[in-house]
Amino acid sequence: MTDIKTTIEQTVATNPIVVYMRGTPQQPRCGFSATVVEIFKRLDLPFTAFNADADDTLWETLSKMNDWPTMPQIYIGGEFMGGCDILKEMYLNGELQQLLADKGLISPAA
Amino acid sequence: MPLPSDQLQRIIAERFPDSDIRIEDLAGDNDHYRLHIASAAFAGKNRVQMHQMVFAAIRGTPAESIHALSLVTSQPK
Repeated sequence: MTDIKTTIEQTVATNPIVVYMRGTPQQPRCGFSATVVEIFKRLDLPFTAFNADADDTLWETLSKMNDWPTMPQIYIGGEFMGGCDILKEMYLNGELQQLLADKGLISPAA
Repeated sequence: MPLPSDQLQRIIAERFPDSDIRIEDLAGDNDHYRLHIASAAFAGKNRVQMHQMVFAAIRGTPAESIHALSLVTSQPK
């Protein structure tokens, strides 16, 4: 059996943006998850999404790994960024765009 | 599960004494809140750590079961 924690660590290390969320990008199942999807859509950035609603073990593992009981949970460049509130704040004040530019995920002008 | 805002206020105030707390009821249903908290306990912490401290503080309390709790954390100005 694959260790879920290891899978998560490998997933976030090999994908620039990973979103663990409720539902899917096409059909988010909570407002916070929908907001995160919308932010990356507006930035025209693809991301890798996983539906934690469909996998209790995934949710539980993420919750323990990050001391973070809620979804969504966002990783950028392998780093845990927190949830919707933090991502939204960073998007609105431009920090997110700066971080993404620093990591070469968007062009600085975007 | 819904929780009256005064109870949420009390839970947070007990665990973060000397903090400035403001609670918005976003949907008028006692189940969707935005909690603004400025606390000296957050000194030297980044945003993720501040949120983790709030999550840890409400673990095992009725505040844990609020359907949607949005957090705005800061250090006192």
